[in-house]
Amino acid sequence: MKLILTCFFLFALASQLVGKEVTVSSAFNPQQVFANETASLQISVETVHGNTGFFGSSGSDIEFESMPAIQGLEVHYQGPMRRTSITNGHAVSSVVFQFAARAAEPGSYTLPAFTIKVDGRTEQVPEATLEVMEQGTTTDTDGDEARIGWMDIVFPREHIYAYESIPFQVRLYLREDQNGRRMQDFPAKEGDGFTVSPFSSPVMRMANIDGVNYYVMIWQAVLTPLKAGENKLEFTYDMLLVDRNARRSTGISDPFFNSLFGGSMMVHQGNTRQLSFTTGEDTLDILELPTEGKPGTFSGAIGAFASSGISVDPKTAQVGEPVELEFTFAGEGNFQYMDAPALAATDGWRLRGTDKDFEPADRYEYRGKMTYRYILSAESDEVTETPGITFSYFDPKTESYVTDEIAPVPIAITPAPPGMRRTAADEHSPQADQRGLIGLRDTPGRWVGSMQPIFTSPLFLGAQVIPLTALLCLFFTRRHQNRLLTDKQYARVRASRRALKVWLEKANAASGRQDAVAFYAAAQRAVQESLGHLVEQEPASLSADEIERLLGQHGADAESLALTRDFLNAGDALKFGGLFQGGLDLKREQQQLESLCNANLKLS
Amino acid sequence: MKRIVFFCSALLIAMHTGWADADADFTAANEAVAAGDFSRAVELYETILQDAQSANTYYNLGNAYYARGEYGQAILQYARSLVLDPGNPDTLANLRLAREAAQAEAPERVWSERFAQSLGVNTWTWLAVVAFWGAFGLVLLPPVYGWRSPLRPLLLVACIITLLAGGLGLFGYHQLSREGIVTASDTPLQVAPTANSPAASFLQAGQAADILSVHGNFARIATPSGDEGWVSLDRFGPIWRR
Repeated sequence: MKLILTCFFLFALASQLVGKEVTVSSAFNPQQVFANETASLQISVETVHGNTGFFGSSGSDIEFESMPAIQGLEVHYQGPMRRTSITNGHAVSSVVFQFAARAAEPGSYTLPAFTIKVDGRTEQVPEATLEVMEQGTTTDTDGDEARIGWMDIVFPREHIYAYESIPFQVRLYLREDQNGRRMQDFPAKEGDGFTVSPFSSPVMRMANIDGVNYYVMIWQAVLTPLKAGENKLEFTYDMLLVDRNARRSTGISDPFFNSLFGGSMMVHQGNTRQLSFTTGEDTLDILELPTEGKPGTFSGAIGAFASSGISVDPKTAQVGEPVELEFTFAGEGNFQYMDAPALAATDGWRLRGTDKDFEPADRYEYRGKMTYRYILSAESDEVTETPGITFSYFDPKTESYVTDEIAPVPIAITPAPPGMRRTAADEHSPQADQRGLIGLRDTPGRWVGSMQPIFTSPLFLGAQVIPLTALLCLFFTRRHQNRLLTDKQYARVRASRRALKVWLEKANAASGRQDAVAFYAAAQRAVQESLGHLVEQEPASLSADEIERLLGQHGADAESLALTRDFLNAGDALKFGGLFQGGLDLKREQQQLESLCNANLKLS
Repeated sequence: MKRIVFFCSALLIAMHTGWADADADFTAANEAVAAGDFSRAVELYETILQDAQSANTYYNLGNAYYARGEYGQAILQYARSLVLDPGNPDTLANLRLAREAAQAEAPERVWSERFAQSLGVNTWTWLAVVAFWGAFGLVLLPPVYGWRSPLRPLLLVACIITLLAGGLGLFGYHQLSREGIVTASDTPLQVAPTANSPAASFLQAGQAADILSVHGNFARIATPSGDEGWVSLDRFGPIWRR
């Protein structure tokens, strides 16, 4: 793209004094950028004046006639920057003409030499070259001083042991002229074989490496290798890079980078790109702890520790009563990967269990105070002090094992009550040799036929019928009683049925005896009771006429009416009418009576 | 009626006689432990447990296995003891020691399982059953008996809460009932329930796993890390014995 510039400056700062010396230079900054990334082209004109007074110095008239266009490179004039100084009695004035340059395609772009006029004299502007790389081809150009940034891991020493907790740093370097915008809070770990504590908040520094200024973002954490041998470790971090020249485009700002990555940064969404930084796969040779000099009481502690106290509670106890021996130490190391220090001289004591409590002094749980509690019980009233503690740990700085002997604590042990004393069998049990194992039980306890839950037993499930039946009986009995009290019709029906049953049984008995008089007397009462649910009066007071009228009113058929009439009249006929008993079939009469009564009961 | 009484009496006498034998074997097994004959003790305890079971027998069997250095088996027996006697501090302490010795981690428990373990499964069952019939009675009877006391809703709520708690406890035990323990080190987790099946991975003694199904002498299990496969029941034992 062609660009023709016409320049416009007249500086009138004084002086037509003798001997002006003019220096013209040009340069791209940086000299290497990615495609679509903007570089700055600076053309500097520096003039040295001969007089000594500040007010005696003056500026220069500089005239750009034209600047050659560069194919494929887009150049925009941004403005001048002026400066005047006095050095060793000479006034030096300089003007820097700034341009923004950007190319869409990778390649080498050279601004050819051209001329300008300074105070009427022709001066040569030297050529300058800008290297444009393909976008996103690399993020880590080792050995290239102009690279944008990189990440690395810093350990305090070379030798790292398995299960040692060691602080380390992840550092991200970003070239000063880059505007970074973070996409994540912390670097992400790749690869197993290590655990990493939470990272610290990043700390910012400036560093000059091979003459180039870099922002350095430093995270700290604690690393613990989980196995010996060669293990790969890598951290990655994603970042957005923003075109500085787009800073005035929009108002999005990042307070984090405002203060630390180049002042107020304005983000232009169209001029950002994502970069993934990585530390690369570092292979760490994790060492096994040395076996030489390793004490038998070593319980996995690696670091530097100092014992800070031992105590026992209570200070007086009975045989068999649990007491708590508390041992505290502080320092820095792998608190999360150690076991309780060993007890020394446990004769007369039984270890029932241990507990621990860690108070971290930092977010990495690398420094802090660890308290171990040993639950002990004395096996004899002859002991006068608790077991001591042998705390062995490995100091990775001196690469040697350290053993601290913690003195026992005096304690008064009294005999246990008679019922709680241990038996001779207990004393000689091989279980006493099992460190901390609680001994056998003398009795088998409650026997059960099966471990299966009781609800799987058919007997148990079948037994649920009992409460169900009981509750239903209670419910229906009470409901029946309530109905008898409140429902007269229901009460009459129930009463007449009960009475009918009695009279039918009597009639049946009479028919069995062939006692026709008694049978018909009972039959008359049965007929009356079978209609008792239809009237409010006592059924026994129903006359024959009333019975016939009732039957007629409630739709009884003619056959029932005739049969009823026969039963009611038969008794009288026997007594007073001379009915011959011998011709009666009382069994058949009984059947007819039952049929009639059942039919009457259905009347409503 | 007489027949029923006779049958129940005979059953009780038979059970008592069997348990008397178990008592004698238990004492003999303890003596074997005292004499340092742990193999004999294990044999006796196992014989007892074929017919009758008790928390103390499982506990002592766990101790005998521990003494023999069979920590996976010890963990299994302690776990069984805890089924019959939940929360026993001695058993818990020994179980912790056995796990430390086997370098096995205690299985992660969800809250319902931890809640369930606060009481025995039969205690939860009785609580649930009594609460259920109590609630049923409190719904059914008061209308016909005219009981309008303010105590009734309180009792009903108490019954419902107890019923829910019992149900939750039983649900927790239902989850726990699938658990088993690897009893031998380097137990192969096989891809098929056959002796010659290749191993996908190996399990350590004392590791807990859930039983998904059983096929012959193999159980299909799922480990807490999500691995699934088949293990021989000679090297893996369900905590809930059938």
